[in-house]
Amino acid sequence: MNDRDLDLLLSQPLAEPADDGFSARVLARLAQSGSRIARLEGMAYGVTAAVVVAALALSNLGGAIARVTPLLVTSQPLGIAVAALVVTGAFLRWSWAR
Amino acid sequence: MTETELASRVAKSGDAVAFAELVGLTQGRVRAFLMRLTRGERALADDLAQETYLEAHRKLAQYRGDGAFAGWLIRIAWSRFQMHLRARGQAPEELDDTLPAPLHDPSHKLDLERAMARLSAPERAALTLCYAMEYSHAEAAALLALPLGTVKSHVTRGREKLRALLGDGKVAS
Repeated sequence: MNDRDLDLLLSQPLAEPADDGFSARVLARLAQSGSRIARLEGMAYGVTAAVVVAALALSNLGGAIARVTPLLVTSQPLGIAVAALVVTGAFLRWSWAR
Repeated sequence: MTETELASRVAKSGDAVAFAELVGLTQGRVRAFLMRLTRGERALADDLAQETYLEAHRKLAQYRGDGAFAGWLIRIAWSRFQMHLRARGQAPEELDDTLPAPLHDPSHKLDLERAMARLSAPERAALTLCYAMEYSHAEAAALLALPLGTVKSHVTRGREKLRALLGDGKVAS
């Protein structure tokens, strides 16, 4: 086989398969994985909130931080919980996007 | 609406209809490329294509619209294929000499697929992108994340092996 024949043969376009439900299967998997992620996120938020509340209640961490930052005394436990949730959410979204 | 416009619409608003349209527009090219890489294993090619689209959907925000959307998908498909090879404990450079040699079909079409199947994965990918899919060597290098010189040598070596395989059915490794 000479160069020209080989070039011609290689340059033939690939035979593209018909869709045959492929797109629908992709969209179904996408919907499935979206709801799985939402469930995981919900669980992660719940667990994080529970751990933070338990840690604040059981240890005197809240009091210690409150003594250092007296101005935040009223909102500090809530602030920590919110910060933990924000960090958890950001981490989940970051790892999902990778 | 072009593929790039559809992609930016999905990235901005998560428009599921636009994504469905994108899949429909591009699936033929992506699956055909993966069929060539997987040596015609259709089920495997389709699994990898599905993973390609799921990953593309997750990463759409990273698509900057600076090249054809199908090219971006091809890049993801190639990386998925490499992950698959690694999971199987296979190196992409490995040649498969266990496959039958070409049959010498007068149209050469079947011969080409059989001969292609005996090349290494990067050789198959480089030849497919540069000939059947009409990408330049530089574009193929970007899609395969390989240096330009490496792509050129995959093309040259792949062609030599094909010529030998299509000529006498034997190839020097």
